[in-house]
Amino acid sequence: MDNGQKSGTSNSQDRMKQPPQKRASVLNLLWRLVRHYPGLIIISGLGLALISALVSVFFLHLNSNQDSLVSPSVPFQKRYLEHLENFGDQEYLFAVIQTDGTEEGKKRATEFAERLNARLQRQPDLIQAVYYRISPQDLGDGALLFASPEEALKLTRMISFLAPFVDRWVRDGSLAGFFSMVAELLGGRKTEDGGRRTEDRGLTTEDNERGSVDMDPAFLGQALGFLEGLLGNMDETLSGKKPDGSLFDLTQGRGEYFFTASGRLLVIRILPTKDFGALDVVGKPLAAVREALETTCADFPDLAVGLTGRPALQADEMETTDRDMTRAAVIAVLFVGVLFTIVLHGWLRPFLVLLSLAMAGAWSFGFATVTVGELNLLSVVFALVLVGIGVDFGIHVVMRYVEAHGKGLGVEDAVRASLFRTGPGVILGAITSVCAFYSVLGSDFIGLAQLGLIGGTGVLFCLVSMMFVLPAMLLLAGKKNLFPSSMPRIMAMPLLERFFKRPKRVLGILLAITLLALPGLFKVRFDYNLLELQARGLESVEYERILIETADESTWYAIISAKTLKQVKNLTKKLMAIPSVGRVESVIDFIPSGQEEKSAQYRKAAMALESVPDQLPSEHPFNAEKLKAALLRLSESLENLEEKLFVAGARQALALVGKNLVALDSALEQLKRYPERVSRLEQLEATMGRDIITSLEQLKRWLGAKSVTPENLPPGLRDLYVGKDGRYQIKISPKGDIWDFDALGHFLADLRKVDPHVSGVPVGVYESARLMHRTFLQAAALTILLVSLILWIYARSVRYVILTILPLSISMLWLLELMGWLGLHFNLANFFAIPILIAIGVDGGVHFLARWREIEPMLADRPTQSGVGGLFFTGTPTAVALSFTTTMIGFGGLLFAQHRGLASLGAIMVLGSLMGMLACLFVLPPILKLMGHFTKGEKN
Amino acid sequence: MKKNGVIILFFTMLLWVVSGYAEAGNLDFAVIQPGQPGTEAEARPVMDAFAHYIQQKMGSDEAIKGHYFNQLALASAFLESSPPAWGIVQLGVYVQHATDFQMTPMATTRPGGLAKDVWRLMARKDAGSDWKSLNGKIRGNMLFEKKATACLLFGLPPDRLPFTLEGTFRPLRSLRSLVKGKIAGVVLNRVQYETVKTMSIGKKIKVMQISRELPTSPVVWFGDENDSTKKLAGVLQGMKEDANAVKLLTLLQTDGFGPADPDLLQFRSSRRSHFGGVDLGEKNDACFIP
Repeated sequence: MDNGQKSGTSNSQDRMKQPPQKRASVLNLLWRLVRHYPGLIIISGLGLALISALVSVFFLHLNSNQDSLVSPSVPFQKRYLEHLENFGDQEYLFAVIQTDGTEEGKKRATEFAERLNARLQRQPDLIQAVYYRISPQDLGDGALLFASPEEALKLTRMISFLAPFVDRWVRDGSLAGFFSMVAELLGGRKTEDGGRRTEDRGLTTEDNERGSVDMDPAFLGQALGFLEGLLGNMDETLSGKKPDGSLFDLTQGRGEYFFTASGRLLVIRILPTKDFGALDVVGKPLAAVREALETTCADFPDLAVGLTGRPALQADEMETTDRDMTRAAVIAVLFVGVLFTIVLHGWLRPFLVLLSLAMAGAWSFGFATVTVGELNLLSVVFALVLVGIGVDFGIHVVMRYVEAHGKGLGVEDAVRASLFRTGPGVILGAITSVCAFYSVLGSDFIGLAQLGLIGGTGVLFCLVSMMFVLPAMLLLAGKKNLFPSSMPRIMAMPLLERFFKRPKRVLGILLAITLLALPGLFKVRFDYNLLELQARGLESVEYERILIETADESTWYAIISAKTLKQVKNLTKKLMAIPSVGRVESVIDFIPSGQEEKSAQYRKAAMALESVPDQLPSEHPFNAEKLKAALLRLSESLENLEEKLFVAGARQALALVGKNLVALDSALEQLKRYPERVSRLEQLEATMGRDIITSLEQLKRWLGAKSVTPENLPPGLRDLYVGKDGRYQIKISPKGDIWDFDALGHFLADLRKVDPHVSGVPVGVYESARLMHRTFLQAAALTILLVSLILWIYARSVRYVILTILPLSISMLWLLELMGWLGLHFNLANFFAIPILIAIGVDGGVHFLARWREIEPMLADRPTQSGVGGLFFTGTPTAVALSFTTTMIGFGGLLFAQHRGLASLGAIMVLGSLMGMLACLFVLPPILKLMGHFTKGEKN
Repeated sequence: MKKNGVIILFFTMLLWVVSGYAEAGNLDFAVIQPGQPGTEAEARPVMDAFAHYIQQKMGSDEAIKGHYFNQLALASAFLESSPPAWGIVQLGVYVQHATDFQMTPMATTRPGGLAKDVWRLMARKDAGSDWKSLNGKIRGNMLFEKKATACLLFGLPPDRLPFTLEGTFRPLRSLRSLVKGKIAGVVLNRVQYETVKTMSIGKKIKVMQISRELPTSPVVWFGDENDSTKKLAGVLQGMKEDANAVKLLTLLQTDGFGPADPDLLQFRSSRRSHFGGVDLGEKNDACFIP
């Protein structure tokens, strides 16, 4: 069968019905180009696609920075970016350790934190900083000024009490002397010269007498811990293991760990290095942190630990959406491929459609490279949207070609008919889709504006590709007889035509159903909660919830800046009085009060240490016998202490003493069995001497510090709160569930009463969400307006505009009703479905109307003629249904998404497309039919 | 008449001053805990801090002095020669000497947060099931008051027990001696028993005899009560809620003070017919305190 032979058939309806003159001239030009230069068109298209692909591979960047999504000229964003510039990025990952609130649990949590920190410190290129405690070292030389007045007094007394012991030991410098001193201290004996040297040490008699009273039980624990380490080290040294590193470092004191108020959680803040050139931004640091957490968790199987924080939530969201999108894409390709193969018969026609689509996609990437130069987190999805919309153009062209060819037209005529008959509808559909995209141009939501520009232009490229390249390929492939000789069977749905024999009844039933379902419409609301969009069971989501529920805290904080410390204090006072404020952090937390008084106290302590030599004696021969005697005295003192602790029921301290005794007994046993090993302790003696002298120097520095100001704070601490321009940052954490949009709104309203220029992540999230909501609403309204205008320009008929938009309007009403009944609400992830549905919905109406206008005169003239029995005897309803079905399949894969936002987007797209299809198939035909009767009646 | 009036006024003022003095009273105290490890010198700072706290709370201008005794003989001599206003005494001391020194319970200690104490005789795991089968030495830091302890724990006077009782300052070392088989048993109070349960040595010993619930070490007033007695009891019972007293209570090894244990009065009033409220029967006459 020669397809070319059919080209001259003159009785075909497609040939008989010529398009209006104005449009025909454009289409004629198009057709002449396709007819005469099909090869050139295809090669040009492919060449341009290749160049575009290469350009985009080399020059198109990905900007995954969320801060780039909103225009920097918007006031809230401008302030936030200024804050970022001034104070640096302080967006942390939060490792949350659950402690069960007991002392033992807290101790385990601190051990976990120390080990995790050690692991993270090994990766300075990925981890910028880890904050989990404030140690004396972090506070700089003014560390002791952070003590409360009572603590300062106690510390002064303790130092004054210990000074004579230390003085005596430093002059001796031996390990034996040290153990004797400890034995004496544990035995509770006072310094031999305590009374005599009181005035020398600058203390009152009362101070001196009270010195031993205020030996804090916590100090006993620390002292026993240190002693255990030393004795253990001694035991190991005797066994032949050399001591490594220092034995004692005052700057590495325990410090304050970042427990929540209830003590049930220990929160570690980790500042990751960000790479905005990568889609996941913190992918590498996050993986490193997770690996470190996993390894550390293996050491602490009893602890429950998880990672959260905005970067983790975003990365997890990105990962789940990426996985969900990939799965949806695979499902879409598979099912659409099968559907195309069934409907279009064979693989070549679907392939040509997809090839044309791929070319358009490549051109769009090239366009994005040349115009914008980058893709953002929103515009990166434009390709998926193009697939959904662009493929529809191809379906109409191919379906019409198949239909025309099936009715006996030759290849050239079939392609021509396809161009001329579907061209206007496809062009109109494309323009309406472009309207939907371009309606967001100029929005302050840059991410959306860029998506609009690239997406809209991409749709135009799809139109060009489907109207030039696809027909050219159909022409060449048809002429070379590459298509299957048999024709597709599913070209029309004539059975449905019977359904509309009584159009009024059909419309009546549909109206009744619509009215019955109307209450659902009022149940639909807009849910702003971003946490509710995330996948269930995600660690970052669960731990964010745990933080909110257990500690009434969140990983977000607002920022207010102030010029002076006085302003910081005033603002802090006001902020603390606000019920919705949980915690306020600022530099004044690190500027201790009562510095003069404490400094005066410490001067007394410094005086007590004044006579302590700065160096050990140059010669202090190692005396083994003296050491053994000292160890025995220490053993006795420890046993006495053990008895006291036992009677007092002090179990923890008792356990510590027990450990000390075990280490000491082991060392004594070694010395008894191998007396020659005692010489091994010489090195230990030297190390300990050096460490204590270093610590004494540090202690003197601390005691000599006069004041702490923002200027002399350690850089690591100052940079957290003091900006490059000298302004101070106040971080305000909310109380309660900040993810709840109403709570967030109240929190920000409260803060704005204090400072209208409040900034930070909560402000960004709140304002961005509102801006996005506003932009979507405006875009939807503008799209409808523009589409109506274009339709009117096209047809110059209000009736045409109403009829074209009718299926869309009905489908939107049905969609909202269904959403209400199904409990499906709009959110920031699925609201984007509305402009897409508007574009797709209008397409259906356009094609139905175009076909109706073609066949209406023939139906009036020859209603019984074969092939002109009605709309459903043509391929248009099938093409429209196929378009909607591909959209449903394309987004249907998202129904199985773990990310609840994407799943809801999938649900709305599937339902919306289904409603769009049903409205096109069941609402428009009976109305058109009724109108036909009406027109006919009028004519009669 | 005028002269008489001046004399009356003088005496009135003198009475007023004296009565005022008597009302403020001397509030020196003694803590008597025979067998407690440590020395009086080690406990001195704690006593001073406690005295300072009480003086402040009682609003007294007169300095208060606290005494500490862990040796019974010294404590008895002190009580004989210069009895203080009040004190914290071990239960055995109270039972044995309440009448002699006119002790009136005014509050009670809460060691480990517990309002009642329980004494337990511990023996090696391989010992028989009946405490009467034990022989040798039984130690405990409450055993300096042998008769009271014997009667409260065994219902028999010490001379009718099959073993000898011995007070110790080192109950933990005694437990180690017990495990090594050097002694027959150790008597532990509730705090000590709860502690030993968490230690490895706890797995090597068992309970042979348990006393009934006993009062903890009482706070007693020596001599006739006066207005200060009630006020002092209030101060002591308020310490638990006082943030400034937290550390002091830790050093005193009590989780605050509660109201006087009513059982203590029973001990004192009924001891001629009963001992500690327990009817010991005619055969146990020796447990009656003459």
